Amino acid sequence: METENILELQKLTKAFGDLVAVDNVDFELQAGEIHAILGENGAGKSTLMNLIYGLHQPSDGNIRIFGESKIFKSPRDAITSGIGMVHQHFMLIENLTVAENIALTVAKFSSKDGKTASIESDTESPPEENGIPSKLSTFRYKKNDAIRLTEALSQKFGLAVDPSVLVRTLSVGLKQRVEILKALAVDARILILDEPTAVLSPQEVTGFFKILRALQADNRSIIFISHKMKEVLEISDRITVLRHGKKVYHGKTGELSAPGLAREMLGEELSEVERKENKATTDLVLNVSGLTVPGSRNENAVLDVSIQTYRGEIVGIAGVDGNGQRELAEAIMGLRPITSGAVEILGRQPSGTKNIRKCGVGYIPEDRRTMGIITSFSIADNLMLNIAHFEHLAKRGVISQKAKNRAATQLINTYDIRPSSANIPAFALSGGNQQKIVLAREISPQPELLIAVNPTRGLDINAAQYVHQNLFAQRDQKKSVLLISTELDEVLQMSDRLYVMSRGKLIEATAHRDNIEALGLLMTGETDPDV
Amino acid sequence: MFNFSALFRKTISISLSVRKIILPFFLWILAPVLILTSAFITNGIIIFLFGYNPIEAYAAAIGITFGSVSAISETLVKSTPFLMTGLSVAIAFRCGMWNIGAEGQFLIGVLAATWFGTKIAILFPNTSWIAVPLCLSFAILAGGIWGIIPAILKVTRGVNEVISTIMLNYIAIHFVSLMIDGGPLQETSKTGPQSDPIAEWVFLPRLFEAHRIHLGTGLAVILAIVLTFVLFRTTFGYQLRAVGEGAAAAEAAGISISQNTLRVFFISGALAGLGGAIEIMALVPHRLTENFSPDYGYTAIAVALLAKLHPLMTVATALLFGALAKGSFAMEAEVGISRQVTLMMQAIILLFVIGASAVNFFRKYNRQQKL
Amino acid sequence: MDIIAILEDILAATIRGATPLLLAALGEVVAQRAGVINIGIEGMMLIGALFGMVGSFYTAGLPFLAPWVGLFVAGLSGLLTAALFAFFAIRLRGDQVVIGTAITLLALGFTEVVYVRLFGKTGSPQSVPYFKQFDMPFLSQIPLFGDALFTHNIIVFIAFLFVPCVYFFLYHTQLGLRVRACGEHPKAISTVGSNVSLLRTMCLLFAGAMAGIGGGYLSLADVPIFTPGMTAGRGFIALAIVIFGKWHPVKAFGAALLFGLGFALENRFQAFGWDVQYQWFLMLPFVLCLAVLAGFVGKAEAPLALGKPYDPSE
Repeated sequence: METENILELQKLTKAFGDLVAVDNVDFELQAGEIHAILGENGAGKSTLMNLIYGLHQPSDGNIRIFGESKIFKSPRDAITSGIGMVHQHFMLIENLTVAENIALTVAKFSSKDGKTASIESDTESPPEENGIPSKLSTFRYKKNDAIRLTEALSQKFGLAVDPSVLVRTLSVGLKQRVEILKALAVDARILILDEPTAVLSPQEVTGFFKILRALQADNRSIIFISHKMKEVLEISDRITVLRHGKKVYHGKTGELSAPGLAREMLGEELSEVERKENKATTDLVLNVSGLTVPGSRNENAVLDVSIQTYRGEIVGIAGVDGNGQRELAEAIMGLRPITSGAVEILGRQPSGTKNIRKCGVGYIPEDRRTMGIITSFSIADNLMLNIAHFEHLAKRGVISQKAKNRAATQLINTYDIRPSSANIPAFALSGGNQQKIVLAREISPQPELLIAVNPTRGLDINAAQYVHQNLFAQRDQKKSVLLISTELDEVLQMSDRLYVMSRGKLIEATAHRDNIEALGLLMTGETDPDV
Repeated sequence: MFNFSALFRKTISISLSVRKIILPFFLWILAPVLILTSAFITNGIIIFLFGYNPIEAYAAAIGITFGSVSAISETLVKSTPFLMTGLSVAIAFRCGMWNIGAEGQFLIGVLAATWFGTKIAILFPNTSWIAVPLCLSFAILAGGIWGIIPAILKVTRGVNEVISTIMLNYIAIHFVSLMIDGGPLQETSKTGPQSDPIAEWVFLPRLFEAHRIHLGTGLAVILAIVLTFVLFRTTFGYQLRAVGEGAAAAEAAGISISQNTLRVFFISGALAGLGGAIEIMALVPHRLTENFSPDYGYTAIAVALLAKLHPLMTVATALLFGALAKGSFAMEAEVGISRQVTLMMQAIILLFVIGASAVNFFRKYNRQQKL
Repeated sequence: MDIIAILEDILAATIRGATPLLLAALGEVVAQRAGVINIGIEGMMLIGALFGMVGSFYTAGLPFLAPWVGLFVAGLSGLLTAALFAFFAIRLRGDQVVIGTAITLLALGFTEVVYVRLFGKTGSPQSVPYFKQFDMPFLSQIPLFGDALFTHNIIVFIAFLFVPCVYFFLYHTQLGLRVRACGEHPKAISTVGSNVSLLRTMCLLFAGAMAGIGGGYLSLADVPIFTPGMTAGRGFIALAIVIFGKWHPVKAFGAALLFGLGFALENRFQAFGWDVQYQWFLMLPFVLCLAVLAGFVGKAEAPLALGKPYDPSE
């Protein structure tokens, strides 16, 4: 039997001004298949999905769903046609309960047949088809109905979650579950998952893949977007590779090996930065002892953490997003109050970000656009955005324009920042070049200690390699680097010593560096990976 | 052979300089002009709908504001409080602090100057050289302290400065009334709600004998120049702007948000307070009355925003609003429109500034504006 | 005066003082829950106050109907002002603080120009048909505070009725759920098919109408006159009430009563003939407001997306 294409994209094109984000892409999705879309950051994956989901409208080309040609004006149209999407950044309302979040979706789409009947309470005798009560009143919001509906849904799909708790109290994995439930609640036949594993630990990924298999067995189709080769090879039936908005490869999973796929993704061979053997010194640079830091809701985001870094080494901290890494870095930088414990830098205990900076600490923050640079400032102004810097450039508080421009020009050349004019505002730069500003500013003074949080997030592979080279150079200069990253591969490749952070606790894991399984267990909060 | 590629490159670089230099400069001048023209036309239509003749009204306004040397001098005098409060707002907004409190800070400045001029100055008679600077400093301090209250509330208690500054405006208005209507600063005869005139040796001197334009106007313009320098050429100004444009990045760079909040509110309040002192020290009747400020502090928001929060541009926009205020007297006297039509006019200008940020043509202009 | 009479008097004045604040604050609760901070509320009240009186003035021939016409016109004018706000804040995505300030300035100038145009330069207060106090049957006969609680004009009772209505809307209807979600994470509800701009506009219009009615109360009840600038900061206090009431209609009701007490004391103390300057009492509500904000308000309570323009293309 010929399998039917339930979704077809024909010569789909989307241009934003001069930029063609999606260029003449053909794509098809069969019922019950998991189709992976692989591509670098900026390859057009997300734009393509937003076109399918009705968030953008195509400039040219055709979308055919269940054999019908359709233009989705809004997500609403897409949802009505049976498309569900789980965004990379969850579209959940944190201050509402799980049931309220589900109800928001369901109520909007439950009156398809014109009835506004409330939920059928009897789950034993399901009203045919999908077997769950799929209706809520479109006028009244009844808490109990919403809770019962959510319970029924999570039972049917085997996705257990407590309906009456606030979403913000859930773990990332559970939030993702709620997102999937939301899509299933309106009976999505096609699920688009945008980088779904980015927030999961290896163990959680295994569980997540089981869910996907179950959905597949239910004859639902899944578009799985990722830039992680290994996962794509494991879960998908077919693979489409995008590069610069164009489809460059399409085939059955397994036809092309991982290196082959990488070549398609990048268009060139990878030149890997090799990790050179390295001998750390015994000069203590950073000494954190017994540090406890409150999070934004007064829970302990960082719990009794102790860590030391020495000259001439890179210390890596791996872990899934949201396990206290950000808070740890901010506490070390003096950007976050500390409940207990101490941070010592080169034997001193400076207080306040200003003094910490003046001790010779560089900081590459996680969130480039809000914490790394000021987008409305010029490149030159951004290059001196460090209190240790601009006080240098000034005499009695007056900034020397000459010195400022000279310093800026030099950094622009050394770090190859483009465009190379010092007076262009930073918002006109690409993400990679914005990151270069941060690197230039933080690394060029050769700080004694460099704290880098997810320094390559959102960069393409070449830019990422550039960052890595710089970190190695820093180490070779006998400086100390603390690298905090959610990319396990990056931490493994870069660090001399290795820690894993989970639920605010820090565990030394250098001994397990060749054992992904064990590292995964540590990431999920197991303290002893050898059991 | 003719070098095409060199020519090509040259053409590109010229067209680049058109885009990068000439066009922005054009917009820099043109955008405010377009905004103003549209606002004046809109306001004219509203005036017309009320049954007045807008052309007559505008003609009357222009005549009284720019018709003669002394009219221009008068317009400059009228503009001074707008300039001072406008600078106050501009510097606060630059730092991302929504200080809506220039009105109250202005009044507290006046109050301090009145107190000094009527009570303290008596202690050292006929000593302008000491009394005038002392009186100004008094007002600066008073305005600054009044201005720093919302900053303290914001830094320590997280109170939104928009609401606290508005509340402080009302408190200041009633406090002034308290002082001059039954309070210690009421005139000695106790007849009306006003203070005694301040001592003669606390008066600000005129610049020219024949015209009312005074030292305060000059001081305000100098302050605008100084503030421009501070904002764009010093580490202090750099920190201020960094906090305003990207607080999180500034903080990560080691710039203290709370310290800058306190500083900028003090400066902002001090500027407004100084503006108040200048008014009472320079202008007849030299006494504090009720409704001393016709909403200078609120108008200042329009003054500063139209000037793109740039101290030097504020001089120009303050002049415009001074002319507007002066013109409104003529419009009331000759055409019969309520003087309060200026408030409406200011609001319309503000709305057009906001509206312009949505129009593609103005993108460049508005990038810095962030409205 | 004996102590009971004094308390009764203060209680009644508190309720009357709280009513316009409550009306405006309830509207603002809904708007802010949807993510829009409407600082123009003062201007909307002022416009409501003027047009309430104007509406009643021109239908004075029908003395029974006139106040109702006035109240309707007040609400409508507030709504139209809010529509202007919505155009700039939602359609053009301007900064809400600046727009709010502009709206208030506009209202200050506009109302006075209109007033002078209609009623002459001297602006002598016009007396118009207004809402008179009436006794709620039976309830006002309750001993002790029955009279203070139940002898008021009809708008007072309407305002109180709005409290459970707004509560029911926000917490027990699907639309209310969507409003609450809209103020927290507008993109999220947009991805499940809601129209954020429409939702916010509707909430703003409601807030405008409520502010207009609140302003109408000032010129149509108790003392039926309009004077330029008569709202005297009540709109801003309503704003503070929303914060103090933690964006919840019932708590906002409590907060409104507190500030109503502030306004009540302002008048009462004067009447008692205490030897204190009256301006202290004029200051009282504003000082109270600052104290309350500084003393009780945490940071993390506001809707997450409050005041942030929503750009659907991002």
